[in-house]
Amino acid sequence: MIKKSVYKIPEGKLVKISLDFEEKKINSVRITGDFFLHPENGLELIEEGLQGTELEKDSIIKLIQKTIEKNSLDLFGLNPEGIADAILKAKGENNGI
Amino acid sequence: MEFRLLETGFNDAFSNMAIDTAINTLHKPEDPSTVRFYGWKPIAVSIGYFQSLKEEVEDEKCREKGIDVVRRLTGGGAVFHEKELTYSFVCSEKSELVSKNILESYKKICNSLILGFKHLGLEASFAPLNDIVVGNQKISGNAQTRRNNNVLQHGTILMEVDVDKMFSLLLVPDEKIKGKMIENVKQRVTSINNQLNRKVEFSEVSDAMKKGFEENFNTELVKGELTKEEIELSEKIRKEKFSRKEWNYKR
Repeated sequence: MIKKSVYKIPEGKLVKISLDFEEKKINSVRITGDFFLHPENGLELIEEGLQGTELEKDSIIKLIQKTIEKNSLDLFGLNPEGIADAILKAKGENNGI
Repeated sequence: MEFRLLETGFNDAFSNMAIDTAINTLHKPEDPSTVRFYGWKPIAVSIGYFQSLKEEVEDEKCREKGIDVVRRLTGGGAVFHEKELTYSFVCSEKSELVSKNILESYKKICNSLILGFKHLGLEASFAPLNDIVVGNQKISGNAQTRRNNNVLQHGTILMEVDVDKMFSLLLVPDEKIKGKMIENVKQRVTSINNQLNRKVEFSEVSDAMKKGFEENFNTELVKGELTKEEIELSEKIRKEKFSRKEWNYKR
């Protein structure tokens, strides 16, 4: 099932999520928005890191943090918790941007 | 060391982004840092590296009107490029010109523009992460990337702004509040013409910004040209990357 969300990260940017999931598992997720992330290929690493993971806030946050630390990513306008909230918003909502 | 100044005039969006990329790709630590001033012809919309073109831009409408749409190498939001001076700045990450810290480096490079605005008679200030404001209204937006051990920062310096036209080309997440968003942006964005109550020339703004860069980095900007290698690489990148759907629609 593919669902979408638009989520304004508190004190941050507007993040858009396209989430492909089944039951409680993420098949794939695409994160778009007007934030900054250095180096830029880090966003794809975050997305890849979330494939197959449980749709649960803490595990999503931990996985994102792991990717950030491993690749020394710098994020501006978004953060792991904001991304997690945006993903969970997509899960819980009807498809509609 | 002196900087190289490039005045490349008005180009299409794909060439503009390809030229910035080629300069950044070929820059070596021993080369002079480069400041480039340019404009957009035809007028264009650029989107941030992480944005979805389909979700941000009325791409059919842009095509009908002959407006270029291009994905930038840099993050940030969608920008409508019409009456503005655009600059780019490239230096080695190893140079001591800018900090390794990204916020600090934005502040440092943006200070060149703030000094430039002063020459135009405007008191501007840095608004983190990446804006310059006059009063509390945005007059310049900036975006940075670090690749090939170089820093590339480019940004817009608004000479005049047409918010209604801009929003006729951009999509918003919620159509119902579009009117309100437009009013909000009109309050929050300004331009040089607006502030000075007269029409400035492109060259007047670029002269002021040249002085701003010189004062900020305590150097001289010496007029130069793109090298043969830069021209060849930019033509290749234009053709193989920025003019292609695979790149522009990749997210």
